[in-house]
Amino acid sequence: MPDSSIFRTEIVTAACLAAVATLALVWLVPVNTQPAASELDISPAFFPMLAATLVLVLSLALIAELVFLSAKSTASHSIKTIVSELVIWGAVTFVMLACLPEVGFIAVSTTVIVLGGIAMGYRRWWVLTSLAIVFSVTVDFGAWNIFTVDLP
Amino acid sequence: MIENLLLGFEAAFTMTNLLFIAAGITLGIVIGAIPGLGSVTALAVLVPVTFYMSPVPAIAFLVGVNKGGTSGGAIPAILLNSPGTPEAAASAMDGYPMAKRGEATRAMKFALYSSVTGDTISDFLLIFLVVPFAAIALQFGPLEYTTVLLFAFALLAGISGRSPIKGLVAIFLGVFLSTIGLDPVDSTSRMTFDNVNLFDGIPLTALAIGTLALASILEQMFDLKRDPAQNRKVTKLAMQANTRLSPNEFFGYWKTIGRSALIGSGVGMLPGLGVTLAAFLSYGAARKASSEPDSFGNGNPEGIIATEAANSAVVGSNLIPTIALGVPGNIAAALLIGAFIIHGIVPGPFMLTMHGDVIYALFASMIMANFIHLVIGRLGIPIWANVAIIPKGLVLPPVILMCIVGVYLPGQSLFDVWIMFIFAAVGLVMRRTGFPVVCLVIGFLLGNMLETSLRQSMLLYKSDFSVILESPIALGFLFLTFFVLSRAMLKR
Repeated sequence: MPDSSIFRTEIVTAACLAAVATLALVWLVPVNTQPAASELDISPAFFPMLAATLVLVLSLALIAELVFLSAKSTASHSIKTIVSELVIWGAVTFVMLACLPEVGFIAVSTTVIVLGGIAMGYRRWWVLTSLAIVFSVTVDFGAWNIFTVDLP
Repeated sequence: MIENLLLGFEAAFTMTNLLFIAAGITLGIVIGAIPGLGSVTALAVLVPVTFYMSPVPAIAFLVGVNKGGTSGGAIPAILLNSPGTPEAAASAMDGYPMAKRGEATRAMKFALYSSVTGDTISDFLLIFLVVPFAAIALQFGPLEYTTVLLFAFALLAGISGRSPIKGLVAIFLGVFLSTIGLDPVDSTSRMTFDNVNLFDGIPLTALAIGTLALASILEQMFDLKRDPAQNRKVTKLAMQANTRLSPNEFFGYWKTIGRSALIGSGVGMLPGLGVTLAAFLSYGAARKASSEPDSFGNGNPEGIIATEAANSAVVGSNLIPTIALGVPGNIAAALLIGAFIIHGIVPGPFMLTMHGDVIYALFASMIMANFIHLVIGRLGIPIWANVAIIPKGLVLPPVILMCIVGVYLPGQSLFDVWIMFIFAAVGLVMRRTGFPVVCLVIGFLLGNMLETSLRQSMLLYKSDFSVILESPIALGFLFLTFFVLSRAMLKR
């Protein structure tokens, strides 16, 4: 992978962090935090503001270090790869969480194990399917009988 | 202390407790033996399972998982040249050459015995040192606590990653996330968007399992998708040729065992240094002290002893700062703090006075766990080898489901599962971009403590920080903080 794409990953990540910290400083903390109970108290917003300020300053320092001091990159993947992985994970998350209350844990669990195994190149169907069914039923049974928790 | 310890043995020596310890060790070894999983994943997934247990068996079970997981990593390192955990990487350097010449069983025995011996030495150090440490910690006021936490953050940022700035960003991001929920002083809501689920803050289990376990699984799954060759069947090496290891031969290496256990214990006592550093420091020290340094890397058992005794010695000693100060020595200790809190035990100097019975029962459980570890580990040597060669395609998807179940069990809320999935994405991005995930989790865990001590200091001293000059402890820790940080920055 070319160094420039890793460098871009570092800069974009640091810039995103700085943007998130700025958003926290100008909107998230001031608008969504209640004022102090009395004038003598320290504002409940003080500490989150301090933490967000430190994240902002350090993110900018990271950009400066990368640009001006040519610091070594510690990222391992390009931004394109990371975004594609996030999109895949986002889609999987959405489908899993949408299906869990509708079709139940056993069906979702069996499907995830089978599809996950196939996606990773495992091709012994009978092993995969048996594992998926036995694992899902055992976990569901165990959750109810040991912890009296009814999985969705 | 002896009397308390005897009472601890009385409380801990029950069939239930012994069974949970045995189960924890077995699970830990099995999970640790699967390359890529390790004790942290095992702990993160299994912490919620202990919600319904009483404190002593719950913590003893998790300690068993940690002990088993740490030593289990050596199995694939020796048999497959593929360490199950980063700290076992040095074991592969000498274990695999031994296995290639038909001494796999002997190498695994060396690893197990060293692990148990190092762990036992470290446990005794914990028992003897925790009370004096806690007595010192009782002298600490909020100002001193603030500086101790800053020092822990500096150590963590300076050592846990290749970039100290990234470490600090991750820590303060964790600290920021810890402020979501009700304010610890005023109990007014902060950044909750009036969502009742967030009033207690972001659930620790969801954040820890998401960033540590699930993100690691996702990373491996995406890597496996790109390189399916990792899924092909791996053949383990022959284990039959030379299997004998007498106690005399093992204890003949007593110098290496003792030195490594002390290095591991020393590293474990300092917050943030981690198991991997202990293993490599000890390996380096053993090589330096050896009369045949060139034999290291070519199947010298001292290489295995040094690594395994040191990395297992971290397990006990990292509970010293955890119990005495409430500051975790490493990520496994951070997860144990989570477990303590779940069971209503707040780590810190008052832990010994308020929950002394539980703590001494825990110490007794740790000593008993070492004997159980020895028995299970020894009997299981022919079995663990088979665990290590299970294809990842068959192991990783069920772990995702275990993460979901682990987070769902305590609160029975799909909201927590959503939070875990979001933090899995955060953890994945952090891993890919070189931000140390451990810093985020420890920052989150200690954020509340830092906020409380800082705000107490500000109220107490009316925001006049020149009082630091009047406290030698605070001044000392502040100096150490600047020293560690500036050294890490200059090194970079």
